[in-house]
Amino acid sequence: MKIRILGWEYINIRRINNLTVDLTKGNSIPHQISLIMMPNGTGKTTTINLMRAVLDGSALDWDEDKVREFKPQYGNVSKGEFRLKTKINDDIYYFILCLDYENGKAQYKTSRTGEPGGLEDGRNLPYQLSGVLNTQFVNRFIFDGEQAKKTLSSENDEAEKAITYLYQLNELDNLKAKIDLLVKQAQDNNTRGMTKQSLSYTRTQMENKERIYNELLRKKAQIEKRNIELTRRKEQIQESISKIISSDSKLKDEKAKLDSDKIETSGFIRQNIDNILKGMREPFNVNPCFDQRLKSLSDNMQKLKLPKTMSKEFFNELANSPYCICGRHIGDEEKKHILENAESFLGEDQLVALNAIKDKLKSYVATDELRNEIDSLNQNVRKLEEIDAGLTRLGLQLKEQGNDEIEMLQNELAEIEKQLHDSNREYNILVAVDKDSNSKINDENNIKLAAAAFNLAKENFNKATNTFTLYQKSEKVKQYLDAIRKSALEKLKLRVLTKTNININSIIKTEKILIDKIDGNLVLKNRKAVSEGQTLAIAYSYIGSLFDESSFRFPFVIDSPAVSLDLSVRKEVSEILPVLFEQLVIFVISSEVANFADSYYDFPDVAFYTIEAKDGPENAVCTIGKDYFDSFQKDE
Amino acid sequence: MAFRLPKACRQFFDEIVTTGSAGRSEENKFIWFDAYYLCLLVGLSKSKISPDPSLLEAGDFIDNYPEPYIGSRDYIAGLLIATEADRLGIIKEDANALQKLMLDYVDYESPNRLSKFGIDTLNQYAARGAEVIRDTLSGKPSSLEVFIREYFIHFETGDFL
Amino acid sequence: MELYNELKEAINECMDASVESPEFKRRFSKLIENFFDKPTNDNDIKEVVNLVQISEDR
Repeated sequence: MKIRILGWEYINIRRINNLTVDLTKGNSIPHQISLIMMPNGTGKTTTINLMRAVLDGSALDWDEDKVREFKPQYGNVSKGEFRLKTKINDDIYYFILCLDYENGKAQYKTSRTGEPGGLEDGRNLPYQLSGVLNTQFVNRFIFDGEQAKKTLSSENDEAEKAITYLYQLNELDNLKAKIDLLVKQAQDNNTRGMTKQSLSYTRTQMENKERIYNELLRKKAQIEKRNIELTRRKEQIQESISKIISSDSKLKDEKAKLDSDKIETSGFIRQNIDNILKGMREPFNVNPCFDQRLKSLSDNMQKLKLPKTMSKEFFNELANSPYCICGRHIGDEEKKHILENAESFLGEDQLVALNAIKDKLKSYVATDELRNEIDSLNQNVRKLEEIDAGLTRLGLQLKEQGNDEIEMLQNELAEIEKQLHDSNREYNILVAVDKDSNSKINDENNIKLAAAAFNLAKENFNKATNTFTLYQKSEKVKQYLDAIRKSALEKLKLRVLTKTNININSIIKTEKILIDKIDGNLVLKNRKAVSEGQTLAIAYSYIGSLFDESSFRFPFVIDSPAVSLDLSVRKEVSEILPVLFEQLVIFVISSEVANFADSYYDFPDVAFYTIEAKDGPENAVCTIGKDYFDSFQKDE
Repeated sequence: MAFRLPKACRQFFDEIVTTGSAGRSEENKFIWFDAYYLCLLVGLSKSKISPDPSLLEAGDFIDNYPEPYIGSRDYIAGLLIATEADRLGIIKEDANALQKLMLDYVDYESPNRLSKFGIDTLNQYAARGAEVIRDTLSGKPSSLEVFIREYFIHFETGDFL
Repeated sequence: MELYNELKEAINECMDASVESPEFKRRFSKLIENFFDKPTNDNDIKEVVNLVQISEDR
């Protein structure tokens, strides 16, 4: 389906008043490139907004003030119109936006002939376009240079969104929403026939659990936000205190010394802890009682000559005794058993293990290292306390010198630390993942448990309304839709990516630039930084490839593509655009002539229009022609 | 069954296992086995076990000694033997009983030196130790420095003996 | 409206991987196609959803 803009007409529109712009070269065929010079303040933005509104239908949502924005300031007209003349495949369509300034209302009309008699109410697009032309979609072919650049910026997911909307994957989301609605309707229908009591409990439960869950999510966000604010305030206060102390030159040096002592001592404490953790793994150093026990065992094993091999004697003796050492009677069976198993009873290997232990116990030497390290830790902690006391003293000193500010700040600081501590406790309960990590959680204070309780209540409600099966089935269908959406998006990305790279390659010949993937935005292969001109080349290549091979071919309307670019980049961009787009309508201001608009002067299929106010601020005229265009506002 | 963490140990130490690890290099982190070991020492010191299985977490938290503890496995085995001998009332001179005890707790095939029965018993000492620590210290610690000092002080003062 | 290739492929792959009845697969594909076309019939959606197979043991 091929869509072209043939021109437009303003009737009673602010800044322009009445004007017709015709982009055709006869035979209802527009030029490939139409350059429209419209200085700022002459209604360029108005024109572009009206074009968008005519195509996407958004004017129906405008409030009175918005409608009246288009009313001319001078003169007193009650109605205005904007008519966009288009050609869709071989048919002419006029899309008309009627603005009732008096009542503040907007309305659409469509005409196939342009004659007054042929007007139909409403925005009557051919059925293939009717679901397609919405704001998101229209913004992708009527845009400005800043919008184009967004596709490369990693701060948004413009590139991926463009695909989603252009190929209407959002419709799959709409279908999911529709399914949810049908399920809800079925539930409501079913409840009508049932007794109130039997339903109200499960419904109330579900609503309560949902409310609790949403509450908790809100609380979490709230706490996070507050914590950030509190932490920021805390840092501010600490900085202020620090500044106040530093600003007193006498105390500044003292403070500097204390600060550096603090860092050093904290480092020592860390070191102490490291050494203690290492040292404590030898239990005999942790406390003399362990050393004593081990030494006692070692001595005993020596004395008793343990481990000892059980001699064969022992088993023979045992086998021939009437009673075992455990007291049981030993009969023929038992005797046989003992003699058979005697061999395996004390193998060599067990001996080795026991002897290893024995040797270790015999040879270790307890030291005072751990003890000393702990003493050192205690000392350092005391020192740190002294340093902190010193720092507080400095603060007090200032306070005594009449500095109430420090006292206030310190009080506020203490208050904030308390708040942070309490808030963290609450937060930990909210986000704990299981009872092992926080035993205080339940389904009213913990998000994960609340979500589970909500789902359970939902299930119960569905069961109660006999819509459980329907609910299950609809969930499955939604899962299929999710899978399809994901898969279709991946495939589309691949296709668009390939085409974009072909486009880029045909435009940027000086180096090899490739898009690696589309991850929200466009991600370049191996390269992080490209020049501004290249950024735009890539962005336009991308936009061009989005529409390629889709069933629609749109005209592209660009607002001031060159205004913030330097001269060399402008030239590059001017060369790119005609390669990528079949019909271009480019709005420029006079400063964009140099190296951008003027590169089209020898172009085969281009027309130049200059729109300016004449005879007053709100009477625009349009002059067609290159020379006028070129010389317009040149001296300014 | 391998090493199991007592539930009281998990609750008591969860803050310092996370924060005690923040900013520390791998070898210096305070790991869960450290927490287990400290509880174990207290239980052994008291020579008392808590045999109730519900005091332990349902799953094993580690099968074998982590690297920092491999060098200590003989000492821990030795302590287990010595403490059990005492707890079970085996007199020093009873060589056979002591040997049998050692055979019960030691397994030459295990990298831990300990049999399943040995580790089970170790877990029970750790469970008891966790309870004692929880009841003796002034509340769940939020800083490793503070906790370490308190721990050793309680050994000094005899609370853990 | 004719759906574009990628969407058709995605639908086919998804249905091939599922264990639904041939009738559901057919009608579900059709449903999506019609949904893009607008306006849709609520009843169509309901009927297709009801064709989904779910296991009875819950």
